[in-house]
Amino acid sequence: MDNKKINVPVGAGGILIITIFISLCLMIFSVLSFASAYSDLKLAKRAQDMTEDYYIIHGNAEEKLSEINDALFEINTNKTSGKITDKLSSIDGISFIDEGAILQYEVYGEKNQKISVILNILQDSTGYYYKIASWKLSNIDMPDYEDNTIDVWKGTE
Amino acid sequence: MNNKLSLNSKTSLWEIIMSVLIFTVSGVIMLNCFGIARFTQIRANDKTIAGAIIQSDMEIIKSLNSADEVHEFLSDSYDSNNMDNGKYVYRKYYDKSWKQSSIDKEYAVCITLSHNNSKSGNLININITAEKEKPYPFTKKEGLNKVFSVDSKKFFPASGGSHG
Repeated sequence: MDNKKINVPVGAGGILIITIFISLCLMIFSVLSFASAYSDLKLAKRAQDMTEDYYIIHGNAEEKLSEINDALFEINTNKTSGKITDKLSSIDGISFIDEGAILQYEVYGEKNQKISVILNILQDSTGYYYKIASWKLSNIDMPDYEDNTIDVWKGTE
Repeated sequence: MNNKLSLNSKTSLWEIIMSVLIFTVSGVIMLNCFGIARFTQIRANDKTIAGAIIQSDMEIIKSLNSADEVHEFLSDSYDSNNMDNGKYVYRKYYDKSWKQSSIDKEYAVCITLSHNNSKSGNLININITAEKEKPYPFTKKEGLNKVFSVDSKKFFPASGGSHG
């Protein structure tokens, strides 16, 4: 057996450089993992804000519905004469289409979302009642695409 | 033929002390950073899961036809219920991996209902909150037990009103 020794001199400062290099690498990894986790948290918070806002405006739309039903109930109980639009117009934020047969209102949220409700006001032997014709969630402001027309390829020339 | 590798180091005591010192300082910063990252990720995941649970329950409540049906559903699917200042409080518990459990109570989802009876129906104020029993370590303490919370209302007409 022929044993041969190879001496590799590390030199002064070698260990210090290796330590600094390893520490730096680990610190970069830790900062990157924190940045990744923090961006996940920001996304989750944004989703939470949107959800909270949606349920608040949904609740407000339901509250408005109860006000309208109360007003209709009042009209049915008191058997008051006159236009139904006059009775319901006291409720804030509602408008009429088709001479009171269709009623609509919108509830706005803080996160660029609104609920638009359309109600059909119907009448039977018991009196007036509403029927929900449409309950739509949409954005308040839509982005303007008109100025950003893109010249797309239309196929072979 | 065996080649033996030996390091002929010329390290001084000063260098070793400096290395240990640097490694200790950076280690403390690193561990803190990894710890904060881990619990920030857990917080983000908790928010997402709690949001899904809360939205699911809220949509079920919104789809029901009367206040009685709401109470029936909540009595069946929640672990406990009680009255507090005229409000109905329903509570269910989850373990660390968000599985419903009444033994390992790591998270709690609480529904508070208050009835606002009007002339023509019943308007219910609904609050659903997901909470963590213990606060998250490595992060600021204030208000962190609350994971997710939503407020809404549901109107059940006594007469008239219907969905077309």
